[in-house]
Amino acid sequence: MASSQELSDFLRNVERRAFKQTVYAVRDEHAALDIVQDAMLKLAEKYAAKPVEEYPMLFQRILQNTMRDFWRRQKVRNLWTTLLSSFGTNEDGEDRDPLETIDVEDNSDNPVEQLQRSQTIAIIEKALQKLPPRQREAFVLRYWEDMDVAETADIMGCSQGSVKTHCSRAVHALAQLLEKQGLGTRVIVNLGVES
Amino acid sequence: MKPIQDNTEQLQSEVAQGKAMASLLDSQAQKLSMRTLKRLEESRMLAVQRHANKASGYDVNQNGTLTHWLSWSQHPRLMSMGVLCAALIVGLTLTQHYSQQNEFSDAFLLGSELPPEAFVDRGFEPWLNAKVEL
Repeated sequence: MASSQELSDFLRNVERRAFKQTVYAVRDEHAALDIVQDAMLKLAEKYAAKPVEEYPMLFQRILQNTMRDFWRRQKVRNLWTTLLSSFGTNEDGEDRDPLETIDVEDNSDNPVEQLQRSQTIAIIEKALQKLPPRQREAFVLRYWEDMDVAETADIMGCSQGSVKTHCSRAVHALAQLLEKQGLGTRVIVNLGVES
Repeated sequence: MKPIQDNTEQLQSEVAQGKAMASLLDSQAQKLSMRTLKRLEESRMLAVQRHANKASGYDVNQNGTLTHWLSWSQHPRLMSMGVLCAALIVGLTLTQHYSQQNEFSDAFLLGSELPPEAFVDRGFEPWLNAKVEL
C-alpha cells in the first residue's frame, strides 16, 4: 500500500501534465481542473490499497474515464440547453483574477528561441485540440506519458495495432499542420530535444 | 528486406517526432498560472487527506463528522440488505405461527366427538353453556 507521502509525490509529478492534457480534450480550464480533482480523489479513495507502482496506469485510466463522463454529461446538458434555448453567459462581465495573468518564469535566456518555441507550442496545442479524441488519447499516453504500446492499449481498451495506427495518424496530422506553418520535422525535433 | 528497414526507420522517425512534440508540450505544462497551480495543489492536498483517512480507517463526511469507514451507515447496500433479510424472517415467522394456529384448530375439530356442523350452529354454544350451568 502506498503511503500518503508517495501519493502526494506522485500527484505533484503528474498534476500539471494531467491538467494540460485535460484542457486539450475538453477545451475548458475550469472543467479541466474539476476533472483532474475528481481523478485525484478517485485514485486516493478507491485505490488507496494499491502499490505506488500501479498509480500511473490507474490514474491515466481514471482520468480518461472522467473525461468521457464529462463528455457524456456535456452531451445531455447541450441537448437540454438546445431544447430550452437558455440564455448565454456574458463572459465580458466576469471579474478578472490578477493571479491568472502571472506565469511561472521561463528559464530560457535566448528571446528568439523562446519566441520560436512558444509559437511552435501554440501551433502544436491547437493542432492537438483538433485531433480526433482517440488519436489525441493515444498520442498523449504513448509519447507524453511515455507508456509503451501495451500499456496504452490497456488504458484505451483497444488492440496494440489500433494504438500504433492512432499514434501514427496523430503524428502525421500534427507534422502536416506544422509543416504548413513552415516548421519542418527537424526544427521540431531540435526544439523538443532542447526543451 | 529493404521495405522492412524503411518501415522501421519510418517508425523511429514517428516516435522521435512524437516525443519531441510531447517534450515541447511538457515544457509548456510547467508554465501554468499561479491560480491554476494553487487549485491543483488544493486538489492534491484533498486527495492526500482522503488517502490518509482511508489508511487510518476513518473518513470525514461532507458535514465534518468523523465516521469509521467500516460502519454500517457507510454501506447503504449492506443496510438495505439487512432490512430486507429482517423483514423476510419476520414474515416467515408470522406465516408459520398462523399456519400452526390453523393446524391446531383443524385438529381440534377433527378430534372432537361433536360433528363440525355443531360448531357452525349459532344456538349450540348458548345451549352448551346452559347445560353446563345446570
